[in-house]
Amino acid sequence: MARVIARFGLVASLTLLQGQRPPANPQQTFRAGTDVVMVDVSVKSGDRVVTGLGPEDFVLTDNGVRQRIESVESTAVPIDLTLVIDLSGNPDRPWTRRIDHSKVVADVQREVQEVTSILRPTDRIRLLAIDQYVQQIWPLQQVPATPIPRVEFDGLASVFDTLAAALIRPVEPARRHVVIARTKGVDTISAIDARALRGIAERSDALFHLVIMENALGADAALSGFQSNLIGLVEATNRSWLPHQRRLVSSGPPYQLLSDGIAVRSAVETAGGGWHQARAFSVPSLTGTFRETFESFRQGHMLRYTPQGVTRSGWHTIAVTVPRSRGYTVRARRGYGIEDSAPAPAPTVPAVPKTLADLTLAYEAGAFQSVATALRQIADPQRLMRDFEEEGNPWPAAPRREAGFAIELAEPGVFSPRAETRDQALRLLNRFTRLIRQPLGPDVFERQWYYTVLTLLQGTINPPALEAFADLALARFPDEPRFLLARAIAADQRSTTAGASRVAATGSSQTALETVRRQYEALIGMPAVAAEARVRLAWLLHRIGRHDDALARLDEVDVEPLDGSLRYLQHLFSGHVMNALGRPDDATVAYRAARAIAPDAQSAQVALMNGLLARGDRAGAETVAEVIQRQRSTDFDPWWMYWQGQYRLYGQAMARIREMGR
Amino acid sequence: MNSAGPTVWFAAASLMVCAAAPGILSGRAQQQPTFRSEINAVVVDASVRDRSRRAVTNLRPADFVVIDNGVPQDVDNVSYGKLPIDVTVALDVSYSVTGVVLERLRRAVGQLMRELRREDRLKLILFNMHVTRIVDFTTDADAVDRAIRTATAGGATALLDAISTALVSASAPDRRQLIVFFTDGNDSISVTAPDTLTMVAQRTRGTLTFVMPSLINRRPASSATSGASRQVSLRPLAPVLSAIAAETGGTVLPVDEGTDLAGAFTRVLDDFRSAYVLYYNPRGVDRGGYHRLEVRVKREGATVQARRGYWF
Repeated sequence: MARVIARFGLVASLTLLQGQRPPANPQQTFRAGTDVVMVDVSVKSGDRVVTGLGPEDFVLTDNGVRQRIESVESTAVPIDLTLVIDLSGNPDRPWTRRIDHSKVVADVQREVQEVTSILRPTDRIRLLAIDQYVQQIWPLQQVPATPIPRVEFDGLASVFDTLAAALIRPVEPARRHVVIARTKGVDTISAIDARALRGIAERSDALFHLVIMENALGADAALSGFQSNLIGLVEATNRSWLPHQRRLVSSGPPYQLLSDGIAVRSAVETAGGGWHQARAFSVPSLTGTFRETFESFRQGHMLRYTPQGVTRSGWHTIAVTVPRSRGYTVRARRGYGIEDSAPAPAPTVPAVPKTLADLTLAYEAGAFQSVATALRQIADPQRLMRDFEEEGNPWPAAPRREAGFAIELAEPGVFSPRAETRDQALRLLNRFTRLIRQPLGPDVFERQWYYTVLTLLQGTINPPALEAFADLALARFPDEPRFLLARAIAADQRSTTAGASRVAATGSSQTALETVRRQYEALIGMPAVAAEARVRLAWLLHRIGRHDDALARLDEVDVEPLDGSLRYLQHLFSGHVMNALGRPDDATVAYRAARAIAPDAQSAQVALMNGLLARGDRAGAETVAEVIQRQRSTDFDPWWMYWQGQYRLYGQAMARIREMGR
Repeated sequence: MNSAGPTVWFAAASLMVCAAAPGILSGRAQQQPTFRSEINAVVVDASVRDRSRRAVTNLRPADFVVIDNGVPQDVDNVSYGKLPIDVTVALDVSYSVTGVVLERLRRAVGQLMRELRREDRLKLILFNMHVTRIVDFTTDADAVDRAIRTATAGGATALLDAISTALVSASAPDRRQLIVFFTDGNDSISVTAPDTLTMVAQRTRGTLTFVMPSLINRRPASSATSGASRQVSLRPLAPVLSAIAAETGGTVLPVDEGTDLAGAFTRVLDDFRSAYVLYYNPRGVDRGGYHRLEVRVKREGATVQARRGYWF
């Protein structure tokens, strides 16, 4: 395995150096041509692992030019293991259709447990499965205690796609990524081919081992086909009828490598991994392969050098030998690639972007506020969105940035008074709910993207649209409290036919309110949203006349000190509830507390004024009325945004998306 | 309600100007000492119209029947068109009011200003979600005109909050209070509930009149926040406003696109000015709490418009 610490090329490798010594400006660090390459090397003498070698023991050439090895370090760093198992076709008994799902799961569980027993506490594992779709059974985690959930199997084979998904994972600082995959060597449905997989493997930082078990199941398949086609006793189960099978090895003895297999084996060996194929009646096991790999890796060496005398960009062939002992077997990565590092001249960012080209340019340059401001002033966001969809992704290498930009574009659209513009904005967002999906399952960006969209849609007070997106988000993240809260808020918005005013409560059906109440009640048990759920539940209870219950909920609120909006609402609502309970003195105390949190907010002032008048303090009420009329305008009033749910957090959420899209 | 003493009573029973006679009221800069000995005086504005909606003049105290919490009262005195007027004009400048309407409003308010007498004054409030007084009580027509030219429309609407604030605002007790709201009757973000507003109306003394356009150039939302406001502005509050206006002795004057707004504002002022001011000392009723009022005249076919009660 080689790690090229370079600005271009193996971008993921940057993380390692950052982990060692975080550069203040990564781009500056690597622009000066001080790229560092790190190569993992395994040295064996027969079956014995050779350890304790130093820089002087190795000879390393980069594109034929001998390099000075700066250091040889231990590779006993924590590893991230990606296990890939092939469940396509019938992995168990190919001669019968009586497939027992629980047995398949149990077999996988047992085999994976054997592997995890080798891992150290600092290591992590994730589990992928090859079938018709790329399945991520476990995301990357410490040795899991949870059982394997339901898996899909007996489908078509997406071998190349799944292996690519395993290899493209960036390596975290001070960790190593090891991919061990076991496959039958038959691909039927992948979007990429073996050569594309080879390209990905060459650029991956993963140590890639592939276990081929074709001969064993190939025999089963042959038996199955024989029975079904000639004897007619049982039904064929393997997918031999499928067109366009791409095989890595031939289907019968001597199981020769076919062209796809040659490409993949080349990829494996270039990446410094191993090709493990059955010989005679010996079938390599997943556990055995990992044990061997792990031991070799753990006792291996990491060579570090700075390339000298070679052209920086392009493919670098590396060769590592231990000259003093020609009997040693040295396994190392065979090369790495660096794309052209010549930086493109920075384009001029327009001061006031207006066209899509200007906006994308400004966005790319990080002028997010200019873009947001300009978009809100554009008269025809519909046209802009249409252009964006027709012209495609302006940043093909940065899909996250594109997904973030889509929200920016949609924002003025969802607030548009024109129904067709709003619809187009929602369609745009909807399209990206598919584009942001990672094949291996939901990731951090997708979660943040949904959160941002949901905060935005809460601001539009368009419950059907909000509900639709909340459902999409929950389909991906079923237990995410913020998404559950968004759905509850949508139901709350829907329950108030007039929206913001308290008069609205009269138009709500009891059934609808009860539905909302239950949703808020359920959220109280989720710390991330409990405070907000309590405040909203209290307001709902007050609206339906359950003032004592409302007060109890408000008293329970434990709001983070920084969320002034919730604390303001807590006091404001307490005042209303106190008034309803015939406690005007307590109400004015609560209103004053709200005013203390946001002195410029009007709602607490008005409530206090009304409360003082109700108590008979006319002079006090007049004083507050005077303040209200003379107060400088401010748009910050948490009450004004109450029905817009968590729209108050949209700016923060969007800032995070922008950061993730950089 | 605090009923500890005359001064407190006067401050708390804010809806009524209390005096024994109109002559006592005029020309007093400091009013409280005057009223300390007149704690039981109640003042009621009453507009009297015949079947043709013309103002009925030349009525005397004996022509009025005032019933306070079900108990008939003796009217001690009446005045007609003598007290100075403070007019508060509150204009809805939320997203639903276009620039064209704003210009018409500017002209209408200018006309209203010219209709005021020398001793009358006008205050101007603009409201969307904010309630902002841009001109305090003044007789300077140019100042009002300049101020209204600065108005721009946009934002959500806190109509009930604006009404409450206008009612509570301090006003001189020796002047009659007319509050004219120009609004489309929608509210999206007020913190004041209708029942709270009723309480405020009962405890203050201004007469509320609403000039409500039905379909005058509603402007579509153009910004993010106004878009959301449009979504929540779903329920017009016309019935609530009618009830509040009636509570204060005022009315709702609907206008349409062809209505001369200046004429409408002038009509509101004329109607208010042509009201009688009745003075009586409540007898036979408990002092504290809400007093329901009923005012009639002993004239065939005449109708009376007066506030429906006051808070003591």
